[in-house]
Amino acid sequence: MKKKTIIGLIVTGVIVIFAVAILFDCFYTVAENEFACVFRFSKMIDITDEAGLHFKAPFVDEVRSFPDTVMLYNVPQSEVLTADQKSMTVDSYLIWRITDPLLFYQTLGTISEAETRLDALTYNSLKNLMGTLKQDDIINEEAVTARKDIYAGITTDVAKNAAVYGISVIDVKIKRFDLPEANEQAVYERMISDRERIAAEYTANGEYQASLIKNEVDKKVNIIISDAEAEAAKIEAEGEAEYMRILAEAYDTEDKRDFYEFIKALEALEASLTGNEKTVVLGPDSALGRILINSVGK
Amino acid sequence: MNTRSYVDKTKKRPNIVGLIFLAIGLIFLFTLIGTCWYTVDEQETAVVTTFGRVTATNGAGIHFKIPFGIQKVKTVETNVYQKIEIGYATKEDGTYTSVESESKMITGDYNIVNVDFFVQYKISDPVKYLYNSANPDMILKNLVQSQIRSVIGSTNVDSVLTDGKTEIQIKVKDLITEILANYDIGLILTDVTIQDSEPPTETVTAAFKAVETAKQGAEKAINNAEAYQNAQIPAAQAKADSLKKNAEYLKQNRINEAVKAVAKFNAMYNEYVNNPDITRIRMYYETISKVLPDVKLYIITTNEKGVETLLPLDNFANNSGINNSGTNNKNTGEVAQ
Repeated sequence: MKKKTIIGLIVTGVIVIFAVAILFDCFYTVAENEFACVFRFSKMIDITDEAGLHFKAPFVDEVRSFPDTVMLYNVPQSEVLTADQKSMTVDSYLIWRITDPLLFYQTLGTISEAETRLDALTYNSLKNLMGTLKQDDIINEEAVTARKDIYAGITTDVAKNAAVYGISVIDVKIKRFDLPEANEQAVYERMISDRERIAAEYTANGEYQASLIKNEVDKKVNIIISDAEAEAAKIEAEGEAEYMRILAEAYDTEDKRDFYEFIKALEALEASLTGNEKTVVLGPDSALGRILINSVGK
Repeated sequence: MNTRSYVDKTKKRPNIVGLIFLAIGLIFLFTLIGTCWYTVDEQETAVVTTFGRVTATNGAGIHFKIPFGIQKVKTVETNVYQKIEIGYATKEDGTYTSVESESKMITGDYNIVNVDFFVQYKISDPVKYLYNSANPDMILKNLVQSQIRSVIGSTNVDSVLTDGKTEIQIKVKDLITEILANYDIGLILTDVTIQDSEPPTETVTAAFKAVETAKQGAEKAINNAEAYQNAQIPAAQAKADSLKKNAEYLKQNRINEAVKAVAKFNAMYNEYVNNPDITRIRMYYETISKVLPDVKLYIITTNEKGVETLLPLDNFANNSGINNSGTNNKNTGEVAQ
């Protein structure tokens, strides 16, 4: 009796555990960010991306989940050659998601396998595209949109090739696009020489501007002086005119003019004979000559 | 003894089993109570899933949930401004380390610059943040890096280092915002700022500084020229004024000369008209006698053959034989002396 009870309890316990196990194996949950694929004897019989509680046949059905979410893949940095045989370092990333879990499982199976393929696809696409572009086409000061179009081409290309894996490539973006480190020193040297040229330009231009100002100042100064001299001369001329007018007015009669002429003649005589070593030749008939001949010659 | 011991045993056993069951039951109960509720901080929003499906989002406070893993709760810092540092990293002690692989980039005019960015963002949709992508924060960081390089790659080095920063920030923000909306990963960008932008090496930095020095030098030269202008123009104006004033003086002086001359003449004339002839003779000889002492005289004479000869006369001052007959001028005598 005792033994039977114990065995009975054990059997009941096993059955209960078994039943609970079956019960639990009838359900599976699906998260918001996953696909759940139900495999029955290794064949996929159901796919759902509906989050929540789902039913399945216990034991025979196996559930595998795949991410139903946008994933980031950091493409390892690589070197590519441009059309003009210049080497450039490209670092890019890729945004992708699984769109067809069955196809994805059939063709790749795992995320890491998918990343290997995406890496290869991206590298190829980048290499091909860069091979058609010159370095100047890639590095320039034109609008961002021009480069955006170039990179959109890579996304389209990779997306097209990844479709066979049940993968949708949402975006491929270049994170870094740089000159290889070996070229950097040359760039630095060019930057320095550029700066030296610009500095020289600033200096020369400053001096040029300064001399323009100075020349303009000198011109203005000279004009101011010249104008002033002209005006001064005019003023002086007015004085002269006034001088002449006043004098002319003073000698208004024949007698006055006659007397004035006489005064001026005397003044002129005096002025011309002032000083040493002057010589005067007198005619014999001049008033003074007559006097002198009479006193000396005869 | 046997019966007693049996009784003892039956009495004791249920007690121990009962205690164990009670203990298990209590632990179970506490665990149940403990997993029936959760709290949400003011910084966060809680996303509740029931069997994996999102059924609720809750704000700050205490909330209840179904235990045994039927309902699960994830909290997301929706109110906190998240940050991304590009080109540098803040250490715990507040100091920075630069991350050159992130900051070093090429400009549109083939210059290399180091630019550090600081980006702020928020989780705008906690459900999308949790489920639409595997690693939304890293996606945003990568996107930021790509758009920064895209914009810097379209800008010339002078703009990046000096006056183009605001424009770059705006461009980067606009581009990221647009793409982020397409990604739909529950994030919203709030701010993009350039923390620092500088040339890559010390020697290059020195060259850039030399340009600044040259700029200053040019400005100094222009300032000096303007100072020259400010000094020279008033000086010239002063000189011009002086010239004019002097001319006005000369004008007035000349007029006064005329006035003086006329006054003198009139005075002389008024006396002259009283006896014109004698005054004329007097004035004539006064003048002659004033000038003749210093003069050598020659007189042209004509001899019998009709040849003109020059008769030299020594200085009048040495001649005493001058006769003062023939003149009525009393001053002639003075000449002879």
